[in-house]
Amino acid sequence: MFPYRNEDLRDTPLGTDRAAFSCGQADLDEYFCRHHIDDDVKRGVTRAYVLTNTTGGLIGYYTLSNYAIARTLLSSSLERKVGYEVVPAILLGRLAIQTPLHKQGVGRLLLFRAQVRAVDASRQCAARVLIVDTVDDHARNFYKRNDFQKLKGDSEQYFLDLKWIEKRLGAAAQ
Amino acid sequence: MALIERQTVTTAIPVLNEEETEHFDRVLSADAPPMDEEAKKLYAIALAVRAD
Repeated sequence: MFPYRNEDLRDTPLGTDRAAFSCGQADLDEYFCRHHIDDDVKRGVTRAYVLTNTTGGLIGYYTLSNYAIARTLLSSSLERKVGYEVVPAILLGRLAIQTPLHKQGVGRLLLFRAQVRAVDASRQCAARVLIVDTVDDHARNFYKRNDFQKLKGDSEQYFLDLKWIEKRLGAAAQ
Repeated sequence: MALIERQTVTTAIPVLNEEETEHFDRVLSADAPPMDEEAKKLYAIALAVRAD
């Protein structure tokens, strides 16, 4: 059962105390806790956001960056629609939630929250697809359950059409 | 200047044909893709989360 109400949650840039964060994936924990994430923000290659409850308790984090992919990596139907050889995109590079919050819908909420930010960003600077990096079968299954499709080729990246997400957000807002 | 010349020469701007135009008109006016009740609820929460 989803453990939060709307008013319990805040989505903010980095700054929260992160030392105790653990999602069960060592590389995602290290990236977040050992401040590699701050270095990437300083480099200007990613934006990082943390989801907290109203008392500042850390729920999870995600990162977003501008990105581009060759259109030939998309599904055939979408490939034909985009026209240009290189498709503007947004990369959801990392997404993780605290281990005790697994299997309660919180990861899905964090993914949807990242989608809200990605759609907002695409309204300012066009992007057609949201790309995710996947590190293991658990992550791949999570994104597949949430309608992402694998890019063609050998990469372990998946994508979702931002226009499709935008329509869903419009329906959910009604 | 060199960059402008290169783009002028190599960039072919794709023009939508009639079929593609109809496709986009249809997509842009279509209903949202189906989603389960939990997804609808979580999308609503995701839209309502306070953001800085």
